[in-house]
Amino acid sequence: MNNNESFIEIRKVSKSFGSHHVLREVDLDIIRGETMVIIGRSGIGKSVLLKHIIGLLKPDRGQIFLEGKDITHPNPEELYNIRKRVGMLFQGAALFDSMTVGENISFALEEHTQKTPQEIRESVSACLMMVGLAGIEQKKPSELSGGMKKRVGLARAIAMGPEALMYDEPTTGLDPIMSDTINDLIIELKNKLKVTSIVVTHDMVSAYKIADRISMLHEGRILFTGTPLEIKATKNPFVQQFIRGQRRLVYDGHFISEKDKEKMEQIVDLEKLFKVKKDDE
Amino acid sequence: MISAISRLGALFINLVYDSIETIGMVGELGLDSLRRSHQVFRNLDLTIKQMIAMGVTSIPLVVITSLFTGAVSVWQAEYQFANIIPDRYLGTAVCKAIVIELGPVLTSLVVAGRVGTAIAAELGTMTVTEQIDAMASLALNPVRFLVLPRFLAGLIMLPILTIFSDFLAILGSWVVAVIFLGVPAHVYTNGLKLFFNTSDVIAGLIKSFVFGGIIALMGCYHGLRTSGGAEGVGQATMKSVVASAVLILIFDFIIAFLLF
Repeated sequence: MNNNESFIEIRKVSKSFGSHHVLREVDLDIIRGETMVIIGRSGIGKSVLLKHIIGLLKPDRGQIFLEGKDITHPNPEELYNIRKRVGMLFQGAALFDSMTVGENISFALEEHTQKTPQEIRESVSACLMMVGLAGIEQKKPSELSGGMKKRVGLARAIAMGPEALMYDEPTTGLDPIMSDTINDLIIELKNKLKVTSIVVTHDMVSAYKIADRISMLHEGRILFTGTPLEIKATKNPFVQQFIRGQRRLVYDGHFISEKDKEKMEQIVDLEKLFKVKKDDE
Repeated sequence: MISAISRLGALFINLVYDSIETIGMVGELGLDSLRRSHQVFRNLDLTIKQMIAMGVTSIPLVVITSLFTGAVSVWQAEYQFANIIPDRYLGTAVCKAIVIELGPVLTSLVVAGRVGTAIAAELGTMTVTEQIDAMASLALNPVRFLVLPRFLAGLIMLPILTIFSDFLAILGSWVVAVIFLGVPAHVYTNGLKLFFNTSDVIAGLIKSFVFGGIIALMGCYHGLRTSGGAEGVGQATMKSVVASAVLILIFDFIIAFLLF
């Protein structure tokens, strides 16, 4: 891959919480303008990876680059700039519940821009309009449904005009129709605002619909990266297990025993493992 | 046996290490707030809102605790005097005790229970629902918008509440002394004035100023370090009130040691 077109580069990033190794030398490139979907089981460290990009967490080892600039250990000014360029939608929307919807969206605008109150009001209603929720400025987050909260969270994230948007499980906990609305919104925002999108999810319907490329995080490493078609076609049993939602591992039409599974955790090169097995036979 | 001793040793070292780490982090939070104190005027409404929440709405609680503190202190002082010390010194003893010790310490303890816990629970909930992360992700500094207003409100409102408390406790003691103990009003009032030093009041206010900072910082610190959902919020709330209470008593001694 040509590194020059990468918007975000993650190089050998490792992160542990106590004795729990969440990320082990993760390598990932996100190309400007694409929608990268990161899939993986719950608690595998997908959200942790996102939080590294905007400096909410610092890696133990490894580096993160934003447009070629090392942002692994940003100073306050760099951090401020990164966070203005990269917006984030949190899993539970994370709206400030002491504020109205309008105040949630205008908060950052009031602090970071020189706009007049009238201009800010216009920006807020434009953002709400974009997520299909015009005119709810005066409502409190507690009055909104889960899907509405996520859309307000999205309106808040796009208010500052970011170049990249990160979505932490945008469709989790929503009904299928609302999930699809969010999917459409992610595609629409990508097309209209030309943003680079990074989506963390375990909802494969959503992943196939929105992704330009999909990466799978497994046991702290990126196990696979490819287009939706490539991921469907791969023989990697861990990827297949996940995307098909199977309890047991299958390779080449055969169930894989626990013993082989352990071996595979160590030898990631599966083709080699199965070649060894065939030779044994 | 050796392993038990080494475990105990490890536990002790961990405890000391954790305590030092906590002191360091709380100190950093306090200093960070103070460094940003010039920014307070850009969001004065946030601080005023906290001053109301900490101060004005605590007044009913302070009224009740102070009146009864005054009442019980004069009652117990009379019991101790037991006709050995003349009643004209009753007011003196009670006034000194209230102004130097009971006013600031008891006010701070009840405010720690009422406000410190509320701060820890609010910030704790914001932490576990990722609102703090969301704020940071919008390039808005949580220390500036959440800690600073509470810290300043604590520093300002606790001395004001203590002044209220001093007056009300003395009023409560006066009522009990005159009505229930039969001390003549002018004798008790003269006793109150006897040996009255403004510096004692100021010392009490210095204490409450420090206690106000402790309550706010402990609430914020434990709130921001919350992890693990509703249980974590409960833990944070509990830790904040325990830490506040312990630190208030420790600093009470330190300030007394330095000032008197």
